[in-house]
Amino acid sequence: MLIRLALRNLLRNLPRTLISASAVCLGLAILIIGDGLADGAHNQMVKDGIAAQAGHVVLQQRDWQEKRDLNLTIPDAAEMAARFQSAIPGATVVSRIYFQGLLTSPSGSAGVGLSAVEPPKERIVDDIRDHLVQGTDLADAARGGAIVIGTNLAETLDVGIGDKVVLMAQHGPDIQSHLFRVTGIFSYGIDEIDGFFAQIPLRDAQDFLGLHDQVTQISAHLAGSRQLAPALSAARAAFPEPELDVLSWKQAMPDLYEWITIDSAGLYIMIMIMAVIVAMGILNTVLMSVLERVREFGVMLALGLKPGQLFRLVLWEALFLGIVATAVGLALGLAGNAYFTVHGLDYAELAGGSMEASGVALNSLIHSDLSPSKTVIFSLMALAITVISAVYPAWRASRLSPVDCLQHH
Amino acid sequence: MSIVTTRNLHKDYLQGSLEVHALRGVDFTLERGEFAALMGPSGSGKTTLLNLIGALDSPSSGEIFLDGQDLSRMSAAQLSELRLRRLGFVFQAYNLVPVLTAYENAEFVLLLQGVPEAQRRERVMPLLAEVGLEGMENRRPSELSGGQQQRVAVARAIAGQPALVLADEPTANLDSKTSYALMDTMRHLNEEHGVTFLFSTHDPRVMESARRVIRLVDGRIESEDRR
Ligand SMILES: Nc1ncnc2c1ncn2[C@@H]1O[C@H](COP(=O)(O)OP(=O)(O)OP(=O)(O)O)[C@@H](O)[C@H]1O
Ligand SMILES: [Mg+2]
Repeated sequence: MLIRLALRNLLRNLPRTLISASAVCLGLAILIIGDGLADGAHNQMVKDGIAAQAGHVVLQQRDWQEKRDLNLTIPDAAEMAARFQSAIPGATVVSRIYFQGLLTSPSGSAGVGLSAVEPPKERIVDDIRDHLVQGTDLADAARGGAIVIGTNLAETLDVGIGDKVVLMAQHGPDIQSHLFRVTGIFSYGIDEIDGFFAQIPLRDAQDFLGLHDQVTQISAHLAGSRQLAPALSAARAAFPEPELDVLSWKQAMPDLYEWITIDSAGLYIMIMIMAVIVAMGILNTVLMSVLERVREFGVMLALGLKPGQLFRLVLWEALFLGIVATAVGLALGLAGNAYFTVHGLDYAELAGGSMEASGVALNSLIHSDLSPSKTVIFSLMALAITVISAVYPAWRASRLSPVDCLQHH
Repeated sequence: MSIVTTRNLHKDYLQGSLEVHALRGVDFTLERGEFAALMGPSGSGKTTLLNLIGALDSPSSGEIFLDGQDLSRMSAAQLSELRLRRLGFVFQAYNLVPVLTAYENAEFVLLLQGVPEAQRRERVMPLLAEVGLEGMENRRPSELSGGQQQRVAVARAIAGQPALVLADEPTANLDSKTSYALMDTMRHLNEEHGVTFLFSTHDPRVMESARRVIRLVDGRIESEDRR
């Protein structure tokens, strides 16, 4: 009986019911879409960061993480890489040397961050080929001594495909220099990357720096982040040497990890604020609907309706409102999410430029990546907020005294 | 056997800092099967007395026995249960739940009493016919006239088979013709089913249908007529 009464009461002031419902419904839809986009952006940044700057699991000489010193390399790199590979058979294992240098052309010079890579294998893990605007990547380069640079760097040095540049870098007491030929020019649309980053073949770097069979990092790239934990422990078991560090990407790229954590925290704070606003709105409308029905509630109480039944009546109303609003909000949110999963959101167009965090570009097209468990949690949260917001008005209704109500008109 | 007995009933209200003595010692007994009217000028205490007898409010002093039970010894929950099982109410206006049909309003008390559906229907349908609402069972209160709404309220009050029906100015919002028709219906229910009625009114012609008239003045019973 209370249920039937609750449903009819909701239909009685349909505009108000719809306004309350749409607050919950839109809040939930925005939450689902926003969170899907945020996770999509974060996952993509992690993927790109892992691809270009580390791996899901990395092997480094102890202290290299802090010092980034070319004296802290991994010896016997080929054997170590093989051991790494057999520890994590499903992964793609690549070796790299990261170092800084000065790149000079006849018309200028610029500091560069270099990544010396194994060309054919590197292509499996990084996406530089997708961002080439001119020339080829290292794997397609005709001969050794090739370098791939970004558009801004090419502009600063005033060089094009086939032009010569000289790379100078310090290892030990001497400054080494080596001639490279520009084989490819890429553009990520991010100044920090396009103006600073360059890629050369690992063999050339080892030759000219005098680091034979040595690298700064061997990294394992997994198919998905879910295999991270087992891969990490397998790698740790395979490298018991105290002078070697096995790190996860979170430790290898602490800045990126921190940035994503802070960005997510910001989102959660916004969610909390939104939840409070929606809750206040519901509380307000439900309280209004209770106060409007004082006379009617008074009659029912006088006839022998128990205060607890009246309390439940108001909660039933909120529950039904919440169920409908949550269902519609969930449907809207999933629909929006499906759209952004397939078509993506052009972030650059919205924000007026690309974004970068810790040297990782946020691709201008963000594809949603919604977590099913968070969707369930958000939906239950929306329902709970609706019902909990009605507790105070329901309590007020249950405390009404029939005599006072009956004098009310 | 008496249904209601009050002893030296007092009720004071605070209006701001002013104490209002709404009832000043009411001693009064109502027997089973009576059809009694409370008369009196505005502010004489009719509503106050009906609310006390109806277990909706508690007296400042004095005692009320309903069906032999001392109301002052009962908890709020027990009083609510007592109203549900032993009392019927008809108020002046806005008696009905707007979202329920005439039938649903009439069966409301039975629902609260936990009477099963078939029995509810068996009791409510003839009652609605008896108060002249046959064929209007599915109308909402907004689709009924004021007199028809009061009839639904009377049917609802009777349906729970109470020991006593209390009606505070049930005809106040009705025109005179409709008022007399409603009183005839109530009187008929009193005679046919033996339902005890206590109602208040301002209207001398409405009062005429009563077999006992209690006159209240300034919170005291001034006189009584039986006929
Ligand atoms: N809740 C209240 N607070 C303060 N004073 C009250 C309250 N209810 C009633 N009174 C006062 O008590 C007195 C009796 O009121 P009551 O409503 O019982 O009279 P009544 O005979 O029903 O009058 P009416 O014919 O106008 O309905 C009046 O003076 C009224 O102002
Ligand atoms: Mg009155």
